[in-house]
Amino acid sequence: MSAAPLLHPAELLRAPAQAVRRRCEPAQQAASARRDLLTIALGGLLFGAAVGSFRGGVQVPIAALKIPLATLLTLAVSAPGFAGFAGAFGRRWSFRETLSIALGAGARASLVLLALAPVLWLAIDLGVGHQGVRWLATVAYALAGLSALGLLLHAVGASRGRLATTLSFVGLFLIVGAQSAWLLRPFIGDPHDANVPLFAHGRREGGLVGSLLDFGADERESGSGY
Amino acid sequence: MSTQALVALYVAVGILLGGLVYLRTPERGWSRAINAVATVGLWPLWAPFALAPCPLAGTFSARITRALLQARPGSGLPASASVFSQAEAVEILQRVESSERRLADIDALLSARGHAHDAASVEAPRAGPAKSLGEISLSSLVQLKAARVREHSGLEELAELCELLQMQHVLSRGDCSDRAEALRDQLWARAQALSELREID
Amino acid sequence: MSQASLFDPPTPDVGSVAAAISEASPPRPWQLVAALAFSAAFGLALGARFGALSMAVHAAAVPLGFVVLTLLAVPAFCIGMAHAGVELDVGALTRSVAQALMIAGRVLAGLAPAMLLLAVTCESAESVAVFGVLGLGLGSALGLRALFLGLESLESWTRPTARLLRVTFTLFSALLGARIWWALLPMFGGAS
Repeated sequence: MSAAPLLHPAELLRAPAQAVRRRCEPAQQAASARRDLLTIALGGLLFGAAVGSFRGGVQVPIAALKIPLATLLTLAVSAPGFAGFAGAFGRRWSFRETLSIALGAGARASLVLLALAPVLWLAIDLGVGHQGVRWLATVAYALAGLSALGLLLHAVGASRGRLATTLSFVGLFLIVGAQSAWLLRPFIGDPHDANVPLFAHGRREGGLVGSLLDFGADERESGSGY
Repeated sequence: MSTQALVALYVAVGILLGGLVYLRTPERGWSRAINAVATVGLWPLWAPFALAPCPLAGTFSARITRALLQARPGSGLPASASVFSQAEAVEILQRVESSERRLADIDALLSARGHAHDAASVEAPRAGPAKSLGEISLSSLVQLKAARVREHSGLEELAELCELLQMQHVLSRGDCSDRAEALRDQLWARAQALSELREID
Repeated sequence: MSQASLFDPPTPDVGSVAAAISEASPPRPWQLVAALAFSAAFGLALGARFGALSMAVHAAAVPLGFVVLTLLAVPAFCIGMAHAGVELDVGALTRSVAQALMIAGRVLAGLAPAMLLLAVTCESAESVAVFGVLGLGLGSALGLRALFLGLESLESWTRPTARLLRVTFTLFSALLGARIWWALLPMFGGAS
């Protein structure tokens, strides 16, 4: 068995600078991208399965598919924006380099989600409620995001415009990621829904912004879950 | 535009690009089909890699190409600055790409022979003809590693010279550099030396 | 394997030097046309919610806004530079303005897919308008930043009067840009 697949997660987690350098080499980008995509799929799959275990049944595979889909959709939509920002702030990355780095960051985040999947499953198994599961999932995403940010900081480097580059990347990813998650909801499945719908489209809830502004309002009326 | 229309547009572009990837992939068999199918579904993330030009144009080619493209006539720099003509730049890049191909071949050989040598070394000690084969294998590996170091250092020096020449051209805007001519000659000699390595081997 | 520091000094960015050399040459017309075409991609995405005609109108209006903004603001900027005692290097100014347009165009082109997703999937048109403003503002701000960076080579650029000029011009171009796009883009209630 080749050592390369085993080295890939270890390099992402323990040597992010090296992982960034690998993704900047044209000859290695395709192989890195392939492994990153597989990592994102696997990490998202298992975390999604844990999330879906709250409702159980068919929600497990549905959530298992939705989580990596949301991550991939966010990366796909954000990558051109990342390339634009990188150029504006003096980072001479090609589009492939930018995309490669973004996939590397996504893979690193997915490894963290993979690690936290059993934690979430245990919490659900011990009887944590819907609101608690939402908070735990949010914390897991936050930790995964911080891990991805670590790799991104290595890529951005210490030269001029570092903070602005990082903030613009993070801002774009958060907006697109939030909208992608909103599009693909529900993931956990609201306990008030007798049957969890595949998608919550058609339920006018003020959109993502409206939902955020109404946070704390009576959720029983909307029954949308997330 | 509705969400359904957007999804349909996504799939349509994916199918187009998947077809393009299928036609352009040199390998045959399952990997070609998997590549194409992956492109249909993940084209914003995968198509840039699947449709990338030959990966043999590695790090050194990219660095040297960037440096040489800037040190060319018509870049707005003083005419007195020494530059390479288009033909000279192309020749340098061809030699660099040949050298990178040799480096990739050596790396592949080292990887294959290195694994085989490691596997053999944990087996029972050899005797007779097997022992001499093992010794030849070991000395070949050592020679391959030395050849790799030579190729790699030759490319590294050439890339650094190109980047130095690039910097000298920036300085020459302020007429504070007279080293461009000497660097140019040195760079040309290094590029010629890349092909001579093959002749010596 | 030792852990690298989070803020290791970056590997030398050779491309920056290349960029400095390439930017020494005057911008070619096709590069400016390309920059405007990039910004049109954002307009296409912005109008996607309301159909093909809206897409075409927004695609024309966004680059037109940049052209009008440049034609109105740059002469005023030149006069401001002269008053502030900053040397008027026409070559440097032309290159900086072109670079500003190219950066703005590229950023907006990069944001176009995100804008398309938001335009098509947001529940309300007001949300789309908010994101549209955000995108245009960001692209314009980064273009303005590129303009100022391009003039850093001028000796008198660090004077207090030059700093005041930058602040004033930033506010002025923000207001002017907002007014122009308010008038041009149907999304914001402009001409349809």
